[in-house]
Amino acid sequence: MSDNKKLVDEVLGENLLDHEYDGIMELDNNLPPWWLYMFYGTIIFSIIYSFYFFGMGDFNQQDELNTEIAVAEAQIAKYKEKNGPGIDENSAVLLTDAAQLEDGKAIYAKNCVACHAANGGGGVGPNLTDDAWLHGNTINDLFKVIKYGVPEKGMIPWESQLNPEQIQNVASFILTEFKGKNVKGGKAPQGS
Amino acid sequence: MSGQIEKFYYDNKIVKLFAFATIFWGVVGMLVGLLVALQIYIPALNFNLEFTTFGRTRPLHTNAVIFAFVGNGIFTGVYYSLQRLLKTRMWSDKLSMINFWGWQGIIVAAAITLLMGFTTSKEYAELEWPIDIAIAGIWVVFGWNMFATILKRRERHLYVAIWFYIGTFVTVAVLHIVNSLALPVSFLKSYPIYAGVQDALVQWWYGHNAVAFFLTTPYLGLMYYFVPKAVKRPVYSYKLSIIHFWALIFLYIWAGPHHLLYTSLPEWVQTLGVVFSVMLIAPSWGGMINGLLTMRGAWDRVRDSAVLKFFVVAITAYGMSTFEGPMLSLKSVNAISHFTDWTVAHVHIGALGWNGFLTFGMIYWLIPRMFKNKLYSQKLANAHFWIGTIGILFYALPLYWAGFTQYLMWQEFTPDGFLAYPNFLETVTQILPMYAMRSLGGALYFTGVILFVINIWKTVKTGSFEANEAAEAPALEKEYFAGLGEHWHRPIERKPVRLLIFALIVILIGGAVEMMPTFLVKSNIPTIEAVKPYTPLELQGRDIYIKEGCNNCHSQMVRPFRHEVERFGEYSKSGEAVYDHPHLWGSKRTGPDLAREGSKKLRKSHSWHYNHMFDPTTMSPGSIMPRYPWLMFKDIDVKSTTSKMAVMQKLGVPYTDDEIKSGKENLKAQAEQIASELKEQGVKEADANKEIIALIAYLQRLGSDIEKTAKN
Repeated sequence: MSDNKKLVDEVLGENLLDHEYDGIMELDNNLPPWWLYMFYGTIIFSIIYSFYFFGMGDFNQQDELNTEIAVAEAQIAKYKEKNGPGIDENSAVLLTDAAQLEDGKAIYAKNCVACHAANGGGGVGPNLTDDAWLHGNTINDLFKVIKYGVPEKGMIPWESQLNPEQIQNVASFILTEFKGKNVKGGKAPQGS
Repeated sequence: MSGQIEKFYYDNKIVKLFAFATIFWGVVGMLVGLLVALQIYIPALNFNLEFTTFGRTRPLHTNAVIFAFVGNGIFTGVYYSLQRLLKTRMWSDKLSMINFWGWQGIIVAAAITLLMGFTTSKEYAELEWPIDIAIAGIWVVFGWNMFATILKRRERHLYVAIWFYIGTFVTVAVLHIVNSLALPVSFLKSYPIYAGVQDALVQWWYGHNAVAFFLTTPYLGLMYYFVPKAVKRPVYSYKLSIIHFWALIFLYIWAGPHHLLYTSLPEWVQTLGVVFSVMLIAPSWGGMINGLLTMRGAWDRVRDSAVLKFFVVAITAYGMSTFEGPMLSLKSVNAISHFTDWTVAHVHIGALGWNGFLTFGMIYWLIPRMFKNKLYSQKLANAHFWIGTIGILFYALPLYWAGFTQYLMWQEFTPDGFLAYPNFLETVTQILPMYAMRSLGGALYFTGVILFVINIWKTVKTGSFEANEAAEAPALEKEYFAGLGEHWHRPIERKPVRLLIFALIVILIGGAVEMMPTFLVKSNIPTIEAVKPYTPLELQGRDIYIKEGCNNCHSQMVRPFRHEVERFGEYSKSGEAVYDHPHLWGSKRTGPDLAREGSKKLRKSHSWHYNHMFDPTTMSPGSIMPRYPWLMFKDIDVKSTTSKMAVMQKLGVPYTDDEIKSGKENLKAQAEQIASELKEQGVKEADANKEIIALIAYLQRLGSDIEKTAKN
C-alpha cells in the first residue's frame, strides 16, 4: 500500500499516516510533551505517595484519629482553663433567669417534644408534668438523666449534642414549666 | 494489489432501532431522575406508595440512565460504526435482533423488579440473579456478533474505536460476572457470595469500572468514530491513541478502592486505589486531547454546527470529570466529598455532559444520514444545546455548594468541644434550597431533551429510511506483507483475537492484585469475637432494609474522624461486617449513618422507631425521609426464614443446623417480645407479624455487638 510518499494534511501541514478507515485518517503527531510530563509526574507522585503510606509502617487511620482527638482535647483544655470548668451534674443549679429559661424552652422544642410532647405530657417518653418521677426530680437528677440518658429505655445520652449550659437550661425549663402541672391527656404516671 | 471489489449492504435497521430505544429510555430515565430530584426535598411525591419511594426510584433512575439510555447509545454507535470501519455488514441480523430485543426485555424486567423491591442493594448492580444471567447472555450475543463481524472484515487493520469496543466487551463481561456471583434463595432473592469488606471491594471494583468500561471506554470508541466523521478532519495523533488506550484500561481497573477511603478496607488497598486514580489523569486526558485537537482546522464550523458543539462540550465535560475524579480520590479531599452531594455533582458532569451530549450529537448526526434527510431544525438543535448546557450548570453548581456546606457543618465543633450541629437534620435542611435549584437544572436539561425528541421526530417523519445501505470494498487478500518500518502496534491491529487476549490480561492484573490478598490473607480482616450472626428476625429485618433501599440514603460506615466518632460512635471495624452478605455501607449520607443505630449512644426506643417509620416528621420535625406506613400492614415473610438461613450457612455464616431448624420459632418469639415491649411503650396496635417488627429488630442490633466485648 505504501508508496513512500508522505501524506500531508493540507490545512495544518502535518504528516498523515497512510491508512484510512471509512474516510477517517490519522495524523502522525508525537505525544504532546506536556501530556507526557504530566503522566510521568503522576507516576512519580504515586511512588512517593505509596512510600508515604506504606513505608512509614506505623502511620495509619487509627493514628490519624488519635492525633486529631489529642489536638482537639488540648484546645478544649486551654479553652476551659480560660473560661472556667463547665457545669456538671453535681454543680448544676436551678435557673430562674428568663433568658436562660427561654433558651431551655427552645432546646426542648427542638429535641424533646418528639417523645415528651410539647406540653410535657409524654408519649414515647414519660409524662414530665405528673408527680411521679422515674429517676428523681432535682435539677441534679434531671441533669444526669439528660446528660447520660437511659439507653435501655430509649432515652439517648445528650452529652455529645448539648453542652452543659444547654442541659442546665433545658432541665431548669422542665422543672419550672412542667413539674407538677398535671396536664390533661398526659401519659399515665410512671415511677414514684 | 487488492482483491476483487465486492458489493454489500450496511444494516441500518438495527441502528435505527437502537437509536429510537436510546431516545425513549433517555426520556424515561431522565424523567425518573427529575422525580427523584424532587422527591429528595418533597418526600410526599412518593404518593405514599412503596413502589415509588426514593429508595426504589433512585436505583431505577441510575439503572435506566446507565444501562438503558447509555447502553442503547453504545449499541447504536457500535452497530453503525463497526460495519463501516470494517467494510462489512454485521455477521448475523438474527443476533443483532436478539441483542436488541433481549436488551429491551432486560430493561423492562429491571424496571418492574426494582420498583417491586427486588434488589441486591449493590449499586449499579441491583438486579437480581435471573436478570443478571440474562444480561450475561445478551452481552455474549453482542460480543459474538461483533467478533464474527470482525473476523469477516474487509479492512485489514482495526481502527482505534474498535480497540475500545473490544476492551469494553471483555471487561464488562468479567466485571459483571465476578460481581454478580450469588447464591439464590428464591426466584428473585439471592445473597452475594462475598461479605463485608470483601463484598465492598468487589462491588466498588465493579462500580467504578462500570463508570470506566460502560460509560467511558465505549463512548471513547464512539468519539473516535463520530467526531472525525462529523468534523471531517484527521484524528490528532495515532501514537497518542495507542498509549492512552492501553494505559487507560490497565490503570482504570485498580481505581475502585477510592470509593472506600477511610473505611475499614485494608489501608494498603486504599492506597493503591488513590495512586492508580491519580495516574489515570493523563491517559484520560489523552482521549480528551485526541477528541478536541481533532477539531483543529475546523473551529469555525463548530460555531455553526449543533452536532460539533455537543461534541466539544461532551469532550470538555469528560476532561473535567476525569481531572476531578483523581482529585476526589486523594484521601484528604475524599474526607470532605465522600457521602455528600459533591459526588452526585461529579457523576452528573460525566453523565449529563459526556454521555448525554455525546449521545445527542451522535444521534443528530446519524438520523439525517439514515433517513436521507436534513435535520428538521438547526435552530432547535442549537436551542437544545444551550438549554442543556445551562441545565448542567444549574444542576452541578448547587450540588457542589451543598456538598461542601454540609461537610463544613458536619465537622464543626464549638470551642468547648461539642458538635456545632449535633442534630444531623439541621445539616440537611440547610441545603434544601440547593436541592430545589438542582431540580430546576434537571428540568432545564430535560426541556432540552424534549426539543431533541421533537427535532428527531420531525426529521424521521419527513425522511425516507434506507434500511440497507449499499457499499462496496475490495475483499481482503489471504496474504499480507507489512511495509518496512511499520509501527510496532500495527501487527496487533490486524490480529483481533490477540488484541482481545492482551486486553483481558491487562484488565485482570489490577483486580487480582487487590482482591487475592484481601480474600486469602486473614490478617487483612481481623475478626471480632463478640460479633455474631443476625437472629432470624434481624435477618428478615435486614432484607426489608434492603428491599426498601434504605442504603440509598443511609450509610453504615463510621469513618475514623473526630466528628464522625463524636456523632455516631466508635468507627467501623472490618470484623463487624463479616456476616454481612451483602455489605450495606452505602455511598451517600442523605440521612444519618446507621452503623451504630442500636448502640447505647444512639439507641432509641422501639416506639420511637415505630412512630418514626409511620411518619418521620413526628419524631424529627422537618425530616425529609418519606413515610413507610406499609411496614405496619405487611406481614413478615416468615416461611422464607429457613431457606435464607440455609443459604447464609452455605456462605459461611455459622448458623448451626438446629438454629436453622428452629429459625421460625425463634423469629416469632423475638417478634412477640418486641411487640409486647412496643405495647408497653404505648403502641397499642403493635402486631408481631408485621414487617416493622423485623426492621426494628435489625436497627436495634446495629453496632451493638462490639459493646458486648467492652463489657466482658
